[in-house]
Amino acid sequence: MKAWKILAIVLVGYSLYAGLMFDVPRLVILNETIRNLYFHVPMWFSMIALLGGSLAYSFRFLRSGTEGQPSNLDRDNQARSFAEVAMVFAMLGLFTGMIWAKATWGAYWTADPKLQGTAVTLLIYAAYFILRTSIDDPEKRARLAAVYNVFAFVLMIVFIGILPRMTDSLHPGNGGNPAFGNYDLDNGMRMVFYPAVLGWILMGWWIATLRVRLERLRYRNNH
Amino acid sequence: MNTFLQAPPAEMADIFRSEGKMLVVLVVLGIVFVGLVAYLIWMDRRIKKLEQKP
Repeated sequence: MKAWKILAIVLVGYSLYAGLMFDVPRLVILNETIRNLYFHVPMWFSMIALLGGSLAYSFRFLRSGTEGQPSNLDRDNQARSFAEVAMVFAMLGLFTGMIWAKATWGAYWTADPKLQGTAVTLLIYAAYFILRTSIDDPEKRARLAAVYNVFAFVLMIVFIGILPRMTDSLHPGNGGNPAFGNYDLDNGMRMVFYPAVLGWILMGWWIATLRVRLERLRYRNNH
Repeated sequence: MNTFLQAPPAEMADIFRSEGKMLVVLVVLGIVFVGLVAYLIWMDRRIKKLEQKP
């Protein structure tokens, strides 16, 4: 087994243990739910990393068809598979966030810019998959999907990374609320949080590559 | 100093962690994690086998 897959298992396993057992800051309202940082936030980091991978494969697909070369449909398979697994992580991030919001903000969902931004992002990527299923010609489908994927990624950054920071928001990291500032993420938490983020990104990458390989086998069987 | 003016300390699961069989929860979580990882590895191997078929 590849070393990075073992690293993924070790890091996530460590974060499960350390995330429950290590000391965390004692804060009112948050109480023990502060530990959700180790499990909820890495879902979103993984989603962004996988969507970044998907974007890179879309670029590579578009490049593969230039200079008289035949376009490489496997790049399209990679872009699609990575986006698919990214959406699984987005769902996990959304549902874990809703549980956390209920416990600390008092509601599963609020009209908060960060939350609405993630909802819009999910719809943008839902459109990516619908676009794919609406085109029969694999070549054309791959080309249009790749171009749309570039739009989708940019909009995701705008809706999750930029707009929520320009206005008031309950969500940490936005509207002047701290998230990774020095006073609410102490050094003890960093020792768990960063390994958790890296571990989950690698875990997502692993699942996505399995999806890619499965699709290659299916393609080989049909041709 | 008047103690009534001080903010109450944040409630944390102190007793829960030391005496409340917290380790049981950790072991349960561990089983779930190990099970999922084992399935992932199994799937990886199966796909590899299929890939190696001519």
